[in-house]
Amino acid sequence: MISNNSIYLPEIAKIVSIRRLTELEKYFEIRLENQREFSFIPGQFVQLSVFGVGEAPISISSSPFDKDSIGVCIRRVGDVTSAIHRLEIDSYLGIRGPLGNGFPIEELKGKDILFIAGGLGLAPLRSMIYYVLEKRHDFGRVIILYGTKTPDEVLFRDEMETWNKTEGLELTVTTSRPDKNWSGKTGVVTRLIPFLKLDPQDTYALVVGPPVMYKYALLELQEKRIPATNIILSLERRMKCGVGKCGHCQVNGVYVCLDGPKFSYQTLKFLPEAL
Amino acid sequence: MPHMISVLIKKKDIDIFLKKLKEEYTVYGVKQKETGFYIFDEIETFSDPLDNYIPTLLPPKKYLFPQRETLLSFSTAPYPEVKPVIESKKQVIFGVRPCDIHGIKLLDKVFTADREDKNYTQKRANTIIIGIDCMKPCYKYAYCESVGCLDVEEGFDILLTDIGDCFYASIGTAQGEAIIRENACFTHAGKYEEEKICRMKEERKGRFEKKFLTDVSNLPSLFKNADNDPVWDELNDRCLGCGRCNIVCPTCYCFDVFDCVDLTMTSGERRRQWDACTLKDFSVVATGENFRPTRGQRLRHRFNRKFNYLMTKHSTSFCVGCGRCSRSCPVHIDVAETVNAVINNNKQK
Repeated sequence: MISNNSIYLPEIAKIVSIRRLTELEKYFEIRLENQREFSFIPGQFVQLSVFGVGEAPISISSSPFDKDSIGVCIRRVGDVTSAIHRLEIDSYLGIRGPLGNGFPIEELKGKDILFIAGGLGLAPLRSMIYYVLEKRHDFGRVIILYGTKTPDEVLFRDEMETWNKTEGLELTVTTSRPDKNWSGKTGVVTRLIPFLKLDPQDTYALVVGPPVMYKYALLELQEKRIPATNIILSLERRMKCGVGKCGHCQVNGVYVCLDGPKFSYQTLKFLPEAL
Repeated sequence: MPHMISVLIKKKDIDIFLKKLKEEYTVYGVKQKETGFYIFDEIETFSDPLDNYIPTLLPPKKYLFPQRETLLSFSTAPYPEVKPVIESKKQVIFGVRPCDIHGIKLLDKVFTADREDKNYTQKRANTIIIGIDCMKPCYKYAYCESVGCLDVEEGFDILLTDIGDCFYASIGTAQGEAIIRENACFTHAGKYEEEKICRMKEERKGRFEKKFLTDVSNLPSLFKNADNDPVWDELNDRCLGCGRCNIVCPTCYCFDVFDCVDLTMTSGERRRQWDACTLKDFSVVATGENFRPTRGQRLRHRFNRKFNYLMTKHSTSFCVGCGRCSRSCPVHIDVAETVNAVINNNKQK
C-alpha cells in the first residue's frame, strides 16, 4: 500500500554549486526539484540522503532570506558525508526538513548578539549571522568570535574578509595552532571572551562548537555574568529519523531533533547527559 | 467505555471462530516451541493447554513494528525517484495478554505523538487484537500489578476471560462487536456469568504480588534524583551491554535506518530495524564521541525511559511489567530488584 505522507520520505534536490572550503569541508548549494520555496529558521537542520548510502543530519548554513536554494557546509567524516563529497554539480540528493527548533529569533531581537564558533560550529551560526546582518536594526552589537585549530581550517575565508570590513560587526578569528603566515589572534576561541566588554543582561551568546569548547565557553560566559537563559548552545547527537522516534539523539528526557538542536543553558543545566 | 453486550464462546468453538477469522485476516497466536518457550506465530488452531502460557519470547509488537521493515524504495537512474513503502495487511493477534495490550497502547502513543509514523499506524489500523485476561500470576519475573498493567480497560477489540468451559468475551471496540455479531459461536452471557466474572476479578486481586516498594507514580521523581545512585555503578560491572532487554521489550521502539542497494546499483530500499539503547555504539556520532560510553549509563538511560522520561511525557509507566527483560538477561539483572534498590537508596539519603 502506497501512501505519500510518510515522515521518512525525502524530496529530491539538485546540487547547483560546490565550493571547496578546506581540505575536509565543502559548501554545497542545493535546490529542490519541485520548485518549492524552502523556508527555515536559522539553526534548523535537514536530513540529506544519498540513496544507497544513507541519510545524515546537516545544519543549514545559508541565509534564510535565500529561499530558492539552501547552503550546507559539509565535513567529510562519515559514510554519507563522504558520499556527498564525491558528488558533482547537477547531482541529486534527498532532503527532509527543515527539522529542529532553530534559534529563538524573537527572543534575540533588540539584544547584543555574541556568536562563538568553534571549527565547523560556524556552519549553523553563519545562517543566523546572515539573518542578523539582513535585519541589522533589529539587533544591538554583533560580535563574532571564531576559532579553528589551524589557519587552513578557517571556513568561508573570503566572507571573513568582508565581515571584517562590515560596519557594526566585531569579528575576531583565532587559531590555536597558527603557522608563520598567520597574522591574526592565536589561542583557543574561548580565551577571547575575557577581553570583551559586555552588557550581560542585554547580551545573548550563541555558541556552537565541539563539546570540549562548551565547557570553557560556559565558564567564561558565567564569569561575564551572562544569565543561563541568554546562552544558547547547539547539541550534536547521532540521529537516524530526525522526527523524535528512533531514540538515538535522546539526551535525558529531550530529543535533540525535536526539542533542539538549540537549547538554552538554562535548559541544559537540568540535563546531566547534555554537556 | 460504554457498556456493550457481553457474550460467551465455548472453548471448543474457538477453533471455528479462528477459522472464520482466517477467511479475512492473517491470524497470529501463541505456539509452544520444542524448547518450551512460547512464541507468537501464525496459527491454525488454538490448543487448549495454551491458555496457561507465560509471556512469549518476543512480544506481539513484531506484527506492528517488525524487526526489520522497508520505509522507502528508490531508484537513482536516470533520474532519482523515491516512494514511501508502507506494508500492512489485515491481521488478528489472538491471545494477547493484558501486559502486551498495554504495550501496544504505549506504542500507539509514541508513533502518533509529534508526527504520525504511518508505517506503524497503518499496520495498527489493520489489526484486530483479541486478548486473553490473566487470572493468576504467570511466572516469577512478572510484576504487571506494580505498574498498573494487570487491569486492562481498552486497547483490545475483544478480551476473553477463561471461566471454565467457556470464555467470557468483553468487547472493546465497534470492530470487535462487529466480529462477534457476525459469528454464530457467541451467545449472550447471563447474570450467572456476569457475577462470576466480577467475583473472579475480585479474587485475583490478592494473587498478584506488588513487587515495587512504592507506587509506580512516584518513580519519575525518584529517578530524576537517582542519576548518581550506586545501583548504576553496580549494574555497570554486571551488565554485558548485549541489548537483549531492549529486543524482548514490548515498549522499546528505538530503531536504526540503513539503505540496501540492489545488484544493479541503481535501485534499492531504505529500511529500519530494531536498535537497542544498551548497545555501545547507540549514541556514537560521526566524529567518534560516545555520549553514553559506559554500560551503567546506558542501562540507566533504559530505566529512565521506562520510569521517568517517557513516563513523564505521556503520563503513564512505560514498563508494562511483563518481565521479559529480567528473564532474558544473561546476568540476571532484574527490573523489580533494580527499581527497589533505587527506592531504598533514596530513603537512605
